[in-house]
Amino acid sequence: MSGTQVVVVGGGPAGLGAALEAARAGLEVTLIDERPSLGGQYYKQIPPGWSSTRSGWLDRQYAEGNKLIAEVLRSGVKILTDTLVWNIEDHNLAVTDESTVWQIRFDKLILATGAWELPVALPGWTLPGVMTGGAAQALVVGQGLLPGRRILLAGNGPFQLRVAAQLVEAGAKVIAILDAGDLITTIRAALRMVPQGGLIWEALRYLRTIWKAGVRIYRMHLPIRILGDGHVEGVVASRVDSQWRPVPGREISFDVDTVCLTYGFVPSVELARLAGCRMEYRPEAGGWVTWHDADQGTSVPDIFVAGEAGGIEGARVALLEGRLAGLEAARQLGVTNRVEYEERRREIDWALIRARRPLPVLRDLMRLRPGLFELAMEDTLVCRCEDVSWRDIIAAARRWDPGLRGVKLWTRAGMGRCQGRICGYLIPRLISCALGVPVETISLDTPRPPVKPLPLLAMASPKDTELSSIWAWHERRPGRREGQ
Amino acid sequence: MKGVPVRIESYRRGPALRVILDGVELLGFEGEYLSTVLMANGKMAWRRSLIRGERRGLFCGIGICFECLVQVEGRGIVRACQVRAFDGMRVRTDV
Repeated sequence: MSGTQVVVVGGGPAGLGAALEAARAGLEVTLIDERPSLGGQYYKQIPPGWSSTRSGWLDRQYAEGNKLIAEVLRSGVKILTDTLVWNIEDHNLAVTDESTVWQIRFDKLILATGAWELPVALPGWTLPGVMTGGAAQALVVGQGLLPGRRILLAGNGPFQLRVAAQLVEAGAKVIAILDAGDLITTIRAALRMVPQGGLIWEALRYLRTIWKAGVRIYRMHLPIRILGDGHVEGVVASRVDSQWRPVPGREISFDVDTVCLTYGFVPSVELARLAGCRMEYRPEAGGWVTWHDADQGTSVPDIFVAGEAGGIEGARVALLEGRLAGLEAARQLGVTNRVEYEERRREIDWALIRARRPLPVLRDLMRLRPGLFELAMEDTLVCRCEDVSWRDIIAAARRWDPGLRGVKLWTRAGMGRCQGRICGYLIPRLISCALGVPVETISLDTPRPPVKPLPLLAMASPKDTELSSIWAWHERRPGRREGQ
Repeated sequence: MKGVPVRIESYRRGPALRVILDGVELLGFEGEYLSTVLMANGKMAWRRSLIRGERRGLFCGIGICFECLVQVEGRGIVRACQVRAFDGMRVRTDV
């Protein structure tokens, strides 16, 4: 068993910020990330030893991340990449590198687990060639690969403009962009953003790239069917009303081989739930998020949350929340000097106020309407792992229990290898739309370790000879530890 | 061929490597994820879904959805979008 004062889970903006701040205070810090390199999804880096002769789209965001990562590498933080945290039990983490398992003891834990892109169940969304906008971005920016020959982007809000601009600048043929939002809301938001500078100019720069390439943006349009036999061959889109419901007779077809969906983000709360942290429902911040106080502390002592896992607020806020969590961990461990702490804390608090200023406008722009969750047909798959259709899920919700747990037991939805990371977001929203019950009243399933599948061989070859309580999780009904 | 992803020319990649996919040799570069090697070689789907047997390919690209699973000799079942390719990597699809 190894131990460390502070463990940070997640190497994106929040995790990097947390690790830096805690290390700066003189603490012994371990930063763990599941992927081979740091940066997370936002500061996407190209592989070591690669370079690009055209640096236009390996842009500021990449450079900023590169600098931050270099700072963390210099700060003495112990870095464990290719390492998955798969359970939390009291002050112990269970981790794996896929060949062995071991445990790490912590005094303070900072969860900076980030978010993923929200899925949209519509006919044909399981076809190869349909991917999230983030997947396309990861391929183009991080791997130098254009995902297809004729690409359609469908989404909502400013994030997909960025994806579109990056694709276009990389030389991809983007056939069209479908934006569910209307022009008036967008213009109004743009005007409200002007006094805050920064973001609006970035958006205009993306728009200019898109316009110069002659790509048309279809406002108030949603894809309603993705066509193809074994691969994407086309998309049928429709004009939608203000609730994103299709307007009859206003369909357009596109001949494309790739579809990128960019409708928003889902906070990654699996570890926080496993640790027993209280969740709260904040639809404007991505749905169920980890509750935290003004010091980034969760409801569980010694566990902090930073960034998107505590509510979707963007990378700038995430980085600062990370710094705040690192600073508060240091204060609680008694290693900060009071004057220095207060100065630092004030600095971060002010920066956070500034960074949160554009949020109301961005949230207006990114608000989802019910039509998005009414696109599935009877036989459209909702759970991709177990091939469970909309019809089966709604039937189970009607006859058995309109909650994730009941639906899971009845249909196996959420029991597959993604463990409900994709359908677990969709099911409550589809049930809510079909049965008219509020999303927040729909019960969630029980969080269980391991949070992601891990090889049995790894489980069978523990690095620790000391087998502590953490291996006994299966005997104690995890997630229900507090006498629930 | 329609839909085949293209490697962007302005990138300087790592050294070339070979991946053996179901016995067929594919060209990759050091630093590429396995999914990148497969897609750049025209493989857009490498798994069948559990019940309906539908073809599936890369969806989330960040290790969340587990749609891109493959079997790598010596490593077991892995997500192609999370594992870097290496020279001589032997891969089996349809896991």
